[in-house]
Amino acid sequence: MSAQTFKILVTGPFAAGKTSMIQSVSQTHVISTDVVTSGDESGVKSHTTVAMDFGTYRLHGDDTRLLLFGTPGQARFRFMTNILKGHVDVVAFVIDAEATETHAVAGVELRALARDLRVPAVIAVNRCDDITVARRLARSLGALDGEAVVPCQLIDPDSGREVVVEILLTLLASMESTTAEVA
Amino acid sequence: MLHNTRTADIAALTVDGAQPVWMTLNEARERAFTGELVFEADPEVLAYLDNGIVYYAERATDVSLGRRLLDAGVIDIGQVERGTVRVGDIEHLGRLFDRDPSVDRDAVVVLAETSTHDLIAELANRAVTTVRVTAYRHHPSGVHRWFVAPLDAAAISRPVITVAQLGTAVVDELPGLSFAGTDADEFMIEWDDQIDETDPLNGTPLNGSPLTGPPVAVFDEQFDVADVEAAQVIETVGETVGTEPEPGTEIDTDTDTDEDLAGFDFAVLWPDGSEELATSATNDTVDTNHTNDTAVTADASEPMLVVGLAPPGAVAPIFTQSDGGDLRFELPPLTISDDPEAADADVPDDVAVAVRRAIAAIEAAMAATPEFAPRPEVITQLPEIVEIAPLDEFDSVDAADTAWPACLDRFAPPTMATSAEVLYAQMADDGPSVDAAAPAVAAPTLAGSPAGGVASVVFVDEPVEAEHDDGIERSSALRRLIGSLRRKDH
Repeated sequence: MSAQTFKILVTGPFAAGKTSMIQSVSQTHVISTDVVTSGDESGVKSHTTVAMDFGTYRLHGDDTRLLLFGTPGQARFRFMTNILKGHVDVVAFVIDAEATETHAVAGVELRALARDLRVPAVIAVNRCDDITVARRLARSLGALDGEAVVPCQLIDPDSGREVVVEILLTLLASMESTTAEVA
Repeated sequence: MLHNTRTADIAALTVDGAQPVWMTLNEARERAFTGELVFEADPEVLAYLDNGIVYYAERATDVSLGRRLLDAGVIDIGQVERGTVRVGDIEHLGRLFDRDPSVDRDAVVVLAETSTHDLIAELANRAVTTVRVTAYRHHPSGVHRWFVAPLDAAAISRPVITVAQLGTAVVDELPGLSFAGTDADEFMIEWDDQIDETDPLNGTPLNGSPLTGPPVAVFDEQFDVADVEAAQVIETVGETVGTEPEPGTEIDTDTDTDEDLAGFDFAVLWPDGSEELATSATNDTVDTNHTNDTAVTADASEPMLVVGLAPPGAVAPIFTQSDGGDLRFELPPLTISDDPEAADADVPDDVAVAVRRAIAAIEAAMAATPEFAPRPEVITQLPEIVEIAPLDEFDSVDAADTAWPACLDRFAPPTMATSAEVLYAQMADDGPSVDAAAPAVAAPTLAGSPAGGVASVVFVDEPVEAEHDDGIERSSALRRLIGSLRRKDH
């Protein structure tokens, strides 16, 4: 049995809940590049990711591993997303449903992300419990019809794990459809 | 009838004689009245109209509108607090919806409309003798704003100050220019170069008057604003050569540099010490704006003059005039440092430390991944290709000299148990990998074994099968991962 590694890129606008999602599943201490926020961003949260977050999950007695890469939310670090999105198995785009002021920027980012994406994507709508509302929001921001949308409360680690499970299920479905096409 | 019973400076009207309220309201509508009507009933009823339409009415004894909204349950006390503007004794609700978007505007408006409708309907057929009329007086709570839309919402919401603001930054950063007096009837630009205003045909001045006096404004006829903004003239006279300019030496900032530089040869001195004489074609490509701004003109008797032009923070080429009169410029050598501290000079310390920590951790994690470790067992040792013997030579092959795989147990007549698929599956189960078993199987087959089907399994089907197996294995691993994460949910 060979080692299998799956990589998830967690991206989205500032303060959407990306780091929380990674922390909810990571078995190792999340390698975080948080620094103290400054300017207007300091009014939203005290620390923010500047390069990336990195978390891992590994099966016991198995070489199967899950790596989670979280990108910074600020637009000035958007190049990180562009670098990483081609080298992962699946992309999770996190949106805060209640932070309406971020939705315009999130829409631009989401459409830019989807433009040349070669891997499946999942839209995680944070601070939202209604799948209908989540889907409507995701579609309004430019999510494609085939992309999975998951409402979640990422402040709760259980909810974060459920999102990761949905992400992996999406990846599994993509892999199996690819296998079927090849066959 | 409504008529003015008082002096014109008091905008109050009264109704003479009793008449039903509806008639009064009807006349007010016909006159497109805007203001307050007070029907002196018991109790008094106050009606507020806009353009002849009653938008709000209440009894004088009614509690305040805010209290009524609270009592009706359409808003809560917090919304009232947030939505009310208090100025002295005034409690203004006109901006309720603007100040608190959570207020259900429809519910509030419907409640006000309903209470107004009920009151007017109750009062409509009653005869009221006295009606006090005050034009353009609205309800003190500001409810008028709820019902009457601004005439031009866009114009009101967009302050004039934000419509067009002239940017003064560029003008402010321009070098000191002297302009003609502002009291002139028209703005004039006066050039430092005398403009030939003579008629080219007869040589007389075009305006019919002789040219007068020196110009008052001194600047180039053409200049690039971006260059002017970024330009930082570096005058290092003496710093480079250790010679102070003599007192009285004038650094001429005039723009007529072509003439001054006409006698010089230009050469480029590269950092490695090589020298390249500039050609005339090269001179043609020099940006005239820059040469004008640079303005390298000084007394030729001075031994050295160094004047440079560079944007802030940039490495500036240094123009050098040698003793022989040649004018050169040289670029300081570029230095590339591997020192991480130097590379991070512009990055805040905490950011740099955080990034380094993350990269180091990720590299460590990746290095420990078996996926990235060398896997020599995967590399297949292909068997030597042996020429296939002709069919009639098959019988001469000595089966004992060939290395048969144990699973074949020497040659035997083919049966279902020795079919290629079964053998392949058996080998896959026995060996560590298909690749490792391949040479042992392939060699005898290529040497001419009649059971050649085995070889075709190894060489033709192996990549597809391996890829398929890898996909299955990966899917299986992913399922285990999902299962593990799901178990953690419970």
